[in-house]
Amino acid sequence: MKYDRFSILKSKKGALSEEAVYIVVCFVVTSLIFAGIYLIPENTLKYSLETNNLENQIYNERIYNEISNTELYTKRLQKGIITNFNSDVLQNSFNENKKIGFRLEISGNEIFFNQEFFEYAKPLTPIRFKAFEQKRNVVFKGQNVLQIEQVYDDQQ
Amino acid sequence: MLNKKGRENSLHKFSGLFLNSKKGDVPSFVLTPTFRTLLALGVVLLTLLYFVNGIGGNTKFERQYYSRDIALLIDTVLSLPGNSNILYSYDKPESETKFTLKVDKEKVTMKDVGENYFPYFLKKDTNFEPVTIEPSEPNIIKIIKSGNNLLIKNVLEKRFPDELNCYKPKESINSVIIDAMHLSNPNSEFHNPGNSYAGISEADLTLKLGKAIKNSATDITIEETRFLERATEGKQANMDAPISLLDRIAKIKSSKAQLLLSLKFGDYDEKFYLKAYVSPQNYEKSYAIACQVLNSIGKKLYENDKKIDGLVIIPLNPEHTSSEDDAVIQEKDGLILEAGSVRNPPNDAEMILIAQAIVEGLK
Repeated sequence: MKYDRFSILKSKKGALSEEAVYIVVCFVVTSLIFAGIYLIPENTLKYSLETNNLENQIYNERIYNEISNTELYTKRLQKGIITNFNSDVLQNSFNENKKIGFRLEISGNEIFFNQEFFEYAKPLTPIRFKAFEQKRNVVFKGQNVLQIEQVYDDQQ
Repeated sequence: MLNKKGRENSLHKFSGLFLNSKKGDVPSFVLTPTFRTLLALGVVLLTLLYFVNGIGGNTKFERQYYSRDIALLIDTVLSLPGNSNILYSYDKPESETKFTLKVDKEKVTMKDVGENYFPYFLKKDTNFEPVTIEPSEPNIIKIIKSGNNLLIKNVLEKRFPDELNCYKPKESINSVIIDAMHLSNPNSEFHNPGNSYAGISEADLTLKLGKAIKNSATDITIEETRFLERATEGKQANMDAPISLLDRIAKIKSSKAQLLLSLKFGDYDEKFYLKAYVSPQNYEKSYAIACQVLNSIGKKLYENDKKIDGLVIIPLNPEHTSSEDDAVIQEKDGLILEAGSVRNPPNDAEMILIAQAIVEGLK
């Protein structure tokens, strides 16, 4: 008898065996159910723990506080009154381990934190790096708008 | 070799031995698609139940939740203007599972049978010592930020009652100038024995403590403003060598010692307080050292059954103090240590313990 490597899948008459189709369908359906059993709770837990850019909001706040004015005698922070708009005040905001960069801009004036990383990572958003942008009303030489651009490595 | 009919017959005979069924009943049923579908569904259902039971029983969610929450809290604390002191509980209700919390300089890790972590980001100039907090009852931590210092500790982690929350000083102390306040010499214009009670003067006590510190400090260089020895014979026997406040201040100014340790005693009844006055000019450094010194004394005395009624660190503005001796603190980083009261002074053995504890606290 000539060896037929498709003998399992073929009936004697050459048609695809109903049995084989049944096994394949069962296997696929079972695999899907198993995958669902594993992935659905995983994703539900993950969704419950999603921080939705909360970290970035906190980092923006850190930067925002650094450039805001501190009242001389009471040491009270006057948020939104910008008196320290220079890159030097941002230099201690994060340690070296963090791949994060900021660009702050008020009416054409701009300052940076980690400028080298920012300029490298900005064109690569949102594929390789992520960006988070905000605008805030501030007092800087009169009423003004501060734009905070944050670029960070979300795989870190 | 059996033909098809022969095989079926032997199979049926075989099954009949155990199941006692009529010919063809059981194998036919087993081979039906309905049976196999039910079997597969049964396996899937059992797996599902097992998995769901596993989710309910394991603590992965809690580990992830607490590591994220604490990391975000630390980020927030570091972003806040000013100082803060926060209590945080990470007990899982109605569970015997306890977590070990580890906070290093990059991430917060929660550990029990497994571990999960979440990163946070220190500021560049933050002074923080990594910490591992073992499970306790209850699991409550303090997150304290003061200036550039961050401290995380278990609220139950106390070596003695009233232990202060200390930051680790940025530098270790290798040299100290001791300023034993007051001076006992009736023949001198600089005679100023300070508080006195029952024949004991503050000048006697500060001298005794200063000498004990000098004797205990084997690997710390000690300088002194007022001489820590008294004459033993002649007209000046048992009296201090005269030195004015201005000369003491000049010595402190010209000293190359890293730290000023000025000694004094209070004047109040019965109670025993340890107080450290620090200059607001370099408050963080002086606070960190004062804190270590007070805790070290507190621990040592507690271990030796000496009751302490309180420890306190007080920022002192030398320009607004009633004691002119306090002016010494504006010349160098350091502290004025008040180690009790002349009305209830430490005895000689306690004085030595205090001196040893001061030296240990400085290291």
